[in-house]
Amino acid sequence: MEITISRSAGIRWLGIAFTILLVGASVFYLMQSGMLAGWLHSSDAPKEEMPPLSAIVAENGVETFYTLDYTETADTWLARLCIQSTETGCNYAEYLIAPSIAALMVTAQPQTGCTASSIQKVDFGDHPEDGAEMAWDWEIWKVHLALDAPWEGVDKEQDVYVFVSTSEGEWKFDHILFGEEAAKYVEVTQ
Amino acid sequence: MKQHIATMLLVVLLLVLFSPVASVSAQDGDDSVWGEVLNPDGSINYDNLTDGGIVTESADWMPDIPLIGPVEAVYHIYETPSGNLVQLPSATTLFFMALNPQASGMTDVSSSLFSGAGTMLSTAGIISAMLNGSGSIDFSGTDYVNSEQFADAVIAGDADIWSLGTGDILNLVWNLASMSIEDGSLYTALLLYTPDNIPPEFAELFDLYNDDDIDIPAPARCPAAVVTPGIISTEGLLIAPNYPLVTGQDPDKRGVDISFSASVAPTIHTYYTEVPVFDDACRALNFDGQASDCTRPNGLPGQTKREIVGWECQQHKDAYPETFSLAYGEIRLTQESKDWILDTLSIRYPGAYVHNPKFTWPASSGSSTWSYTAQRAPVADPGEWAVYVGGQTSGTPVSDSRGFGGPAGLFDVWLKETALVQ
Repeated sequence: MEITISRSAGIRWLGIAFTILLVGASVFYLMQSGMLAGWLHSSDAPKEEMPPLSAIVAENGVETFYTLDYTETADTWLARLCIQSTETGCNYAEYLIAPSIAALMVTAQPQTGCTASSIQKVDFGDHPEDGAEMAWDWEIWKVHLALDAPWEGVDKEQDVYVFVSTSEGEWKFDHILFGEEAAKYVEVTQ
Repeated sequence: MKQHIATMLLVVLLLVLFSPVASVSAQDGDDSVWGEVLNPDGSINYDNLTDGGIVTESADWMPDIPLIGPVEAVYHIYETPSGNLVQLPSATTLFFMALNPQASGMTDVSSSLFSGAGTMLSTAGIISAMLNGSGSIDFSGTDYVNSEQFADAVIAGDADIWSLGTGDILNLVWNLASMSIEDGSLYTALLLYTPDNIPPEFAELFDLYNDDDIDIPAPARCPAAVVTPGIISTEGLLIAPNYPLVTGQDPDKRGVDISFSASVAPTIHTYYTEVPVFDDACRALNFDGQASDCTRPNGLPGQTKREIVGWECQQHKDAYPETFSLAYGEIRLTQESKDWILDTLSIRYPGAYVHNPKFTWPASSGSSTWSYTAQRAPVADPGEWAVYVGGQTSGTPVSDSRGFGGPAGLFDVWLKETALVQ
């Protein structure tokens, strides 16, 4: 028996097969990304936006930075912070920040935890600016923090500005902006 | 564009700063004050300086860490023989001092020296120095037409160094800090303060490391040393017979047995030593970076230190045994007995005389006790005899040799007399 497919019929079957593949790939993508589940449940649950990963990194960095216990050494504090920091951020903390933390441990004897929540992204960019290879993104987040037990002379709640970057391939905490460094954002956001 | 500027600034600044203070030249102030700081070749005369070590200071002109406070300023401090203070800020600290020359006291310094090939770091600060030397910086994309204008704006407070780009200045600061970390001697400026010109904040800093006048009690005045010579005891005894008869009347010619003995007790050297009494006190911080663990009476942080709070005299007694280098025993007819023989006995026995009034037995010793027994001493004279013991001691490391001697006992020698009774 000889089966003969005309040229026009072949093109039609090829089109159908391509369409099936396209639809299948789209459904797979929507399932993997969670968007399909979001659509299916959007009608029976209030929508709760997850903050972006960069904001979560900023929050975690702030919480670690301001969790202080004077019974620990500054080195212990530094070790916790450096686990989640970029290498440069860890260097800043070790050589520029840790001596001040050590002094604070003695003078104010803080013993507090910290809860942080991101408020808004106040700046972003990439580095280097000309978009060369190996470019990485950076963001600055305004983060609200609340201390469990503020030490004498500081407010229980305050806003700080946090530099996070993807310089090491994923979003990582870099540093909390110095007051002088953050001044321009304070003026803008207040 | 701003990041390009920051990069250029860093390069120029590193060039400016990368000469350790091995050879410096005075840029302002009185050169004579540096005579005790520098050798003729321009190197630092460390042998003439008291090293105060590396100290940190919380200075409000350093960058502010939210809630924590400012980044610690770091200096190496030396004191000159005349009381001047030489302050060597770290590269990072110098950078921020230059940004805040008045607040940091940089403009009030008595005299200053900076390293680098003729680099002039005036009180306008390191900002102008690095900008003046960076002619290639392109300011066309900024509000400023050239580096001098930008420097003036920074110094005047019209431009903010932190505005150059987020993270860029921090990178610059970090590079300066890492230079200091990698090379502990990288100090590019010497700031000298005469005693009457130390800024209050620096004086406060120095207070951290200097105690107020502390009353250190003077050592106690202990009693003088005393040497107590050991007591010398002597004894002389008649052993036999109980009633000795003069040999002229004794058909056995028995004589007397006499025992001599002497002993010397150890010499005692009593002396006193001054012993400090210690107690814990909260005193100024050390330069070693160790954390404070107490609060001083003046309210400043301090460190617990053991110090002398008093003195006491501790008595010591050493005993030195002494020996007899020479000893002798002797018996002597007393003077009263001699007189009796010559005055009284001679009436009844005309021609009576004293035959032999003294017998001596010398002997050596070598120990702290000595004894000797003389046997059958032929005493021919009646009366009372005194026993003597004498000699000389060897002395001790704390006392001289001494002689001794004297009566150590008595015994009688008898004479038989015949009397007619009517």
